[in-house]
Amino acid sequence: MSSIVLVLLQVLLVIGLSRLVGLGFRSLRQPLVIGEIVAGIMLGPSLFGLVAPEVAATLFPPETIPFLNILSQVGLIFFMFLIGLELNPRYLQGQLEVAILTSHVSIVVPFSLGALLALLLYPLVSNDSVSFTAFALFLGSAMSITAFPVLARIITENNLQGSRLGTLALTCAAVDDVTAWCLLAAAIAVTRTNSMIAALPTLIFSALYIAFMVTVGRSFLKRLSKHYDRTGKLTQSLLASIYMGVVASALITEVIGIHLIFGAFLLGAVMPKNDGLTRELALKTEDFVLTFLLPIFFAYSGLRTQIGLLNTPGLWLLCGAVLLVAIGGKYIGTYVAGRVCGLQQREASALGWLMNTRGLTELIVLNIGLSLGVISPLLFTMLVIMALVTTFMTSPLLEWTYSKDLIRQDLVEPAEIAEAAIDPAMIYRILVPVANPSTQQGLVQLAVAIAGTEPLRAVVHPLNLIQLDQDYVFESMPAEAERIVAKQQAQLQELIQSLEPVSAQSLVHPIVRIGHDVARETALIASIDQADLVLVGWHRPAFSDNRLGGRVGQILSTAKTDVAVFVDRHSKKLEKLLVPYIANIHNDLGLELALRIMVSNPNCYLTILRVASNDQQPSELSYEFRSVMQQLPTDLRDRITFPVLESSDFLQAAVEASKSVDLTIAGASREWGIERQTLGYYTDQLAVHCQSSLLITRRYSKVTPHLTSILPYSSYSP
Amino acid sequence: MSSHFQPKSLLFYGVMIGSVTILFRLTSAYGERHLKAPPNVNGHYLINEPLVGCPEGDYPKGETASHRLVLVIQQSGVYLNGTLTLVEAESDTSQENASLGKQPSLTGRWQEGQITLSGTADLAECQLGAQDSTNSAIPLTVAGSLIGEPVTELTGQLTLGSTELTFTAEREVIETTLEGH
Repeated sequence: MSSIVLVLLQVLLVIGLSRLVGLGFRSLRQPLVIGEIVAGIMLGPSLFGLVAPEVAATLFPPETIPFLNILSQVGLIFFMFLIGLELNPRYLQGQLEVAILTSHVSIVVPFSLGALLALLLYPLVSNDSVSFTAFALFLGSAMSITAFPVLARIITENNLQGSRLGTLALTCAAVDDVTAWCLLAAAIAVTRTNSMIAALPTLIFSALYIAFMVTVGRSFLKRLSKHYDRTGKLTQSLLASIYMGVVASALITEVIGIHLIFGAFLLGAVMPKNDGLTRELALKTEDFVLTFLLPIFFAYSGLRTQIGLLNTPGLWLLCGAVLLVAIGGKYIGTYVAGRVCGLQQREASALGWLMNTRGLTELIVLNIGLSLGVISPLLFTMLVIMALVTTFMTSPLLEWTYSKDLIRQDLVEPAEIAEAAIDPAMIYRILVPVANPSTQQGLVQLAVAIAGTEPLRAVVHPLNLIQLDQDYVFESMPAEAERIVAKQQAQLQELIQSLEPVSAQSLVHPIVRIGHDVARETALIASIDQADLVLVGWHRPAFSDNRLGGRVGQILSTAKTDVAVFVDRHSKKLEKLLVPYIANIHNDLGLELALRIMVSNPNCYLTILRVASNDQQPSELSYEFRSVMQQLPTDLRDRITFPVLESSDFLQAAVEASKSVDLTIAGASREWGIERQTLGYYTDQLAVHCQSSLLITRRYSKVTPHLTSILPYSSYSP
Repeated sequence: MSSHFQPKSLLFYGVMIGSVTILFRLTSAYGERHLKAPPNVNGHYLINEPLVGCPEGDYPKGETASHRLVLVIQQSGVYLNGTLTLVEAESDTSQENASLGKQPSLTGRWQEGQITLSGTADLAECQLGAQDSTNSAIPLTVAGSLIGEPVTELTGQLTLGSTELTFTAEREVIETTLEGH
């Protein structure tokens, strides 16, 4: 087989496996990039070469490796350009004083510990062709790395971008990133010359080139930015000249004697942060680089990672020491500095875990070290394990020290603070997942009708979750995520201003967040906010077998809250309500919601329809509901009627009655959620045939008091 | 908090950076003076002696054999890993990539100029006698002394199954792919 055919086969395998494993790790709530790194390791001698050495040798013969290496280097150059491009000065605005101190201490402590660890490791895992100084400098640099790109995405994913902790962590990581790259450049220069003195010319030239780029290069790039503003689009010619600039800059730093990646990073960093240009340039560049070239880098790196080298307990102990120094140095340094700067214990701890993320940046550094021969294959493997462990542990430890409900508390809206004045248990909360604010006005309007108009008695939270399907893209950077959130906030505000009555608008407080799994996040927020009701819109699936599988089905299955599903037929009014009554707890919830709507709307009438047939008596109202009825004010009771229809077909009777009402409310059938039915056979059929808008209710909690906040003397407890 | 350009802050940064610089200088001075890492023994060792039972080809005296044994040593300080392979005499064995992606089958250590390696060898092409019925994982031990500074030669003895061989091998330094890449 020719080399090109083999390389293409390798690329197929690499991209396929890295996507697959990456998505597997996504489902574990881990960054996609960890999965891609693991996929690369799986393809190397650690797994593939161990399990099927013959097949591995056939698929990855030595003569094809240089091609993979070149592809991975090209990928790395453009990835570093993207990292530089993402490094927005906006991230350097959050508590700069605290950030500079914290980030420097968080570099100095692991760097010093790394240098001390070199005393132990140098005689064991290095050789005399590497000077101790270069070894210690490199090990110290490797220990001090924080992966800004990975950290930024973890922050976005946890919706921390607007919080004090998030902005502080981003600023720290940005400062850390720049400092660590400078440190690495010095380490490479010293490694290549094997002495501090001999490395001085390289370092001076590097400083001169940085100065040149920050002044002359930046002013030239500003002209490009102006040209973009004039034309309004990134033409291929402009893109070509930027890419040429990236490659030229990479070549210059290589000639100077540091490394290709610095030139690319530097050009990205000095690019004017023109929002439109940066976004378009990133979007055009990242897809190919992140999906095609970067996995090849991971595979190349994986081919050089040999976990099998750690074949004695003593070596695993050394690996443990490396982990201990890396984690301890970063965490303790950050934590102590944060506390000195006045951060709370919890914030300082969370910041420590965030700064511990090393991810892909560490992998880049390690590959350079291995190529230069300054770190041996054994130490390379230990440090790869360290990079994976430190990145993998970030999300769970962050959740442990700074859980999502605490994040919500820190992000509490001013409007909600007023609620604190009264007993929170008295506030009736409705959570309304809104996917598209422009088409779901009816849903929010219904929520407002259920909530009532009395401020401080009820709150409606339209919840807009922005799904970022891929977590390593430019859109998942905090600044970009903030832009998308602001856009959605504005759309929701427009929706709120269209609600009637105007007095009810003050009850509505939107929540806009980044979320990967809409159903799970909705259930989580409902639980954190202690929502009494989740009101969700529903459209019949396009390819219907009416299966439990859409978002509604997922929310019904996961939410530990009462749920109401609204099928909007775009009725303008909400004055005639119909409850086709079958005695069960879900229908009782429907009746309670109907009463809530009636309390705030004196023109609203309710019909509780019961059906009798020759062989069946009509359903009796439950004892609990009858006792509530007795406590209702007379004017409310007078607006409720209880007709009984003779019919052998309950469904047909309900459909017929729905023709003359604005909203039909039906409880889910007992068999909801089984046999591929979302809400049960009867309610599923009603969703299709009902002539009015339809609200289907599903009770989860038997103790949620839906009437307490509007009927204070009601002792209703189903 | 106050601006970080205040004398107090500047003093703190000065002390911090000064301390870490001094610590690093002291550490590196101690390391350079007192710590000795083993010599660089990475490389391909081309064994001069033929191994009985392995293909040699008929070649007139004075010409090179068609195949030769190569001991690949991958070093991580005192920890060694390696592979013993039979390669065509004309093939280029100096590439780093030749061993990339493969799991070394030998492990061992460097100690005071001596190396020891043990594990298995995959020599399917060799006929090593009835006692070594399968040639895909023959037990192998290598013990030898390194000669020269930098190391240029390895002399020693290898025991492959029931076959013993006293050998000398020339070292071929592995070239990195792209000078530091």
